[in-house]
Amino acid sequence: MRSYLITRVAVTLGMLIATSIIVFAVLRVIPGDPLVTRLGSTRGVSQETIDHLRHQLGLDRSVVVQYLAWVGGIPRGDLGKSYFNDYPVGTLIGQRIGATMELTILAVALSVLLAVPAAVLSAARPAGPFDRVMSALSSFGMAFPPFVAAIFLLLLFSVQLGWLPARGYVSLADDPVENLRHMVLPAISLAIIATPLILRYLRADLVEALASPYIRTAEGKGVPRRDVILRHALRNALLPGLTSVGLIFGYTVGGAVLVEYVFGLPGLGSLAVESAVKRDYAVLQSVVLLLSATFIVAMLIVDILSWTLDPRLRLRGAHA
Amino acid sequence: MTAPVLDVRDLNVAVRNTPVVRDVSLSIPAGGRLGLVGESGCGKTMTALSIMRLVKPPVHITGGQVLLGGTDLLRLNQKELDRVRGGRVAMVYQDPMQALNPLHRIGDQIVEAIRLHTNAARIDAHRRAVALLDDVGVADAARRMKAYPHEFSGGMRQRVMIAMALAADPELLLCDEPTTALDVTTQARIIDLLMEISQKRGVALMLITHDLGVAAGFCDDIVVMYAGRVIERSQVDRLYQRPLHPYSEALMAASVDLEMPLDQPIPAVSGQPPVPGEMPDNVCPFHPRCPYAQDICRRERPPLAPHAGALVACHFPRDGAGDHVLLERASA
Amino acid sequence: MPEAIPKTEVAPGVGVAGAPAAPAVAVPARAWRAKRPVALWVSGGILVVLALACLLAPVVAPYDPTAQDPANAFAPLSSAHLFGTDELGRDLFSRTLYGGRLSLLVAGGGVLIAFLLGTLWGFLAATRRGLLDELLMRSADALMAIPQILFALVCVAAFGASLVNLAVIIGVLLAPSTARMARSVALNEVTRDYYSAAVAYGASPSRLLLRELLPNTTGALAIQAAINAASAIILEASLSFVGLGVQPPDASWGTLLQQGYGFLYQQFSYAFFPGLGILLTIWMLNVLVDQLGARNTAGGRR
Repeated sequence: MRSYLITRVAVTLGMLIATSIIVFAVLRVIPGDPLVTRLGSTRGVSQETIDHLRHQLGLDRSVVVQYLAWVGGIPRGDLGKSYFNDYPVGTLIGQRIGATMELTILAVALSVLLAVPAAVLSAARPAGPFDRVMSALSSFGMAFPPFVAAIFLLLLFSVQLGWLPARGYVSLADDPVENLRHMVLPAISLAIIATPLILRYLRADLVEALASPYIRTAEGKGVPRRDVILRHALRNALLPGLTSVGLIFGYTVGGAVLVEYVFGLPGLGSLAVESAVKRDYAVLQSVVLLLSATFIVAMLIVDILSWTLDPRLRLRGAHA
Repeated sequence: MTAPVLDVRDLNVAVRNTPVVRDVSLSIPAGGRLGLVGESGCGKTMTALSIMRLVKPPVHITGGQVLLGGTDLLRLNQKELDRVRGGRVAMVYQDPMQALNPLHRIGDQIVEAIRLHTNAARIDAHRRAVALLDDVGVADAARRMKAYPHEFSGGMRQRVMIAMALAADPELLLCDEPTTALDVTTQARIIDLLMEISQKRGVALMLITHDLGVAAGFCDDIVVMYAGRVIERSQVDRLYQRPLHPYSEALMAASVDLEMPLDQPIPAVSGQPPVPGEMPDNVCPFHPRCPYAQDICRRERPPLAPHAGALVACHFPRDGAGDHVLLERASA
Repeated sequence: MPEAIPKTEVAPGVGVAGAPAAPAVAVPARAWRAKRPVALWVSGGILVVLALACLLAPVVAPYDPTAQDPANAFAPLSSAHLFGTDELGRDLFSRTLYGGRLSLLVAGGGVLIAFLLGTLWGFLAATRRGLLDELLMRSADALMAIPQILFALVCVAAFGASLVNLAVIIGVLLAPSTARMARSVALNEVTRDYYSAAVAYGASPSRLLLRELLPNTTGALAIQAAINAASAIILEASLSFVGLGVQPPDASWGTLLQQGYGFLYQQFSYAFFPGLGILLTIWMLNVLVDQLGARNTAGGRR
């Protein structure tokens, strides 16, 4: 029982470490030089200054030392400083994480809200008219890369209709209404691709649940159709469905990167893009690690949740 | 004579266009115990499911009547049907592990059945559920209410299913191979339990089984099905001592007799039952395997008719002397 | 791009002791994809038309995409300029066609590299098993845990964004999932008689991979290639959109999206049509994958 938890957490840690090594390694194997970005070019700058800067940024240490310095600082919250402006990376991340979290949560919530009823109605009458329409819409929605969706939505709602603001961000604390007005289109952009994904998985789980013998038992008891679907099938299908939501969460984080960029939201995604353009590795490596970690940890949480919620798994080993 | 609790008349069920249950008629008096026996695939489960209208496309009920105390179940709308199912007629299924919802506590599953058909408040329903569990022989019933199906053994799960079926005091209980998935000792106990229920509560019971031994000790009457049709209906004693249809005869002979000499081969019914739709309508479905078959069997399907105090569908049923001679029929 | 692996469907429950299959809800796996093969041909057809139009841009395009006409900037859609003109008066229809060409070429390169790398990766893991298998697959998992776009960003930041680099980066990104798929189908084949026979005959490893495994796994690998194509297009477009992909003066659909993004109010078609191109291509690829997937599992191969 507990061994399952321990193994799972250990595997997660392993993956996190592996990810950090990969990210770090890729950035260090480069021929390019972050210093060039900072200075503009190395022409006209004395070797002394260059060496001094290099030492300041810690780039003269061996690669392994640099890696350990980075990773070692994580528990303390010290992720180094931006190559560009000496700003502590941790602070930068702290400033921008809010927008990303809000966007991701809104997008996933919206998707779940749309997908669950759609899945229930589709699975209730498979191959029926609603199901077919949903299937076609799903195929279409899944083909819509979030940033393309973002641009189209912008074209329609901001440029053409002028209903919603195009860019910018107002924090939730300052003005909830304005905040939402800025977040609606970004959230929809992500939901367009996330909803069909959740819908597909949930529908399949529901159909599988509905084909189970216990559904017939429920009908034989006289449980009305609506309760059969909701209380028996859906209830049982949500458990595997949980896994898909975890997955979706991970994909949404990836999609958020460009959506933030398009809408000018000050989140981690846009930070990643900016630091990549500027070759600011110090920031980039931490942001990428953080976002990857979110995905990995989300999967871990989902696994643990499923495990605790399924009475059959929990009691494994306790009964014959 | 009081009206039967269940009166099935000419029930016909098809899978797509292939009939799998043909002109099946049977009845059970109040408090009676009917056995429905036959080989796998003969249509007995399909019959039971059709009685409760639990069949789904591509399976369709194509004709007949299912009268439960006078109400034709086949004519009810969904709401009325939901009231009848579980309320007046309930079913116990073959594999209790599959048939119980694995994520719901068994107490909740029983309470659900109770509250669907009575106005009981939650507490009363709970109390009643505990009493039911106790009645069916689940020890420590109050505590076990909180358990999940996988925490029970096979026999216990079957008891839970029976408790759930009895929750709303139905008039009729359909039991589809309730003991097939269990070991022999547990089988006996479950059958005893069903007997007790039948006698104490006066519930009419239909027991579906391919195990003749189980049916023998339990039922009043037996209906034998073959290839989707009823081919014999008889009182239990009469059937076992004097089976009329060649198929029933072969079934009885095929039971392994422990007294038999060891060097004798176990009598088996040779051949296979026909695949649904394979055989034309106007022949006796059993004739390829029948030792008494003659020309008429290949030309004319024998109707189910009274003979020697039972109902049998055969041109050459066994008579008083034990011979199989042509049954003279009055012209239609 | 999430993998569109068909979810395994459950067969209707069969009763115990061989009793007739309990009547159950007809499993609608077919229904979900049962639109007749029309969908297969239509999607394939549209893809072919798109690909040809774009790849043959030098032939098909009415104007030189770099030909400027500043006086005619932001011209509205007309028969002369189907998609209008951009801020320098260049014909957007031609630019879009050429853009598609670049997008498809880069994506195609990526798919090819992913195929080569991933198939080898997966086949090796499947045939060698043991520690090598574990190592290969764990590394695949670790790579797959990083959101694709982010890893692409990192790689481009490190290696630069030439066309070849882009194809390689995309290929490397798509290789792990290809490897997983390749390993999975290879594992199926490795247990079969023909493979054991080849091993017994002393076939060399390369022969085993090329002549035995490969021909028998083309179905699944083709589907994976289609899935990869969709991901590759998205990746290239995403990278170009943030300026880390195809660089001016070259222009892929992603680059056009970026430039058009700056002129959303002046000329909607600038960003709209490249976006539409991306959308359409991916949609048709998805439909194709669905159709092929249904045929592959439900149809003959099992």
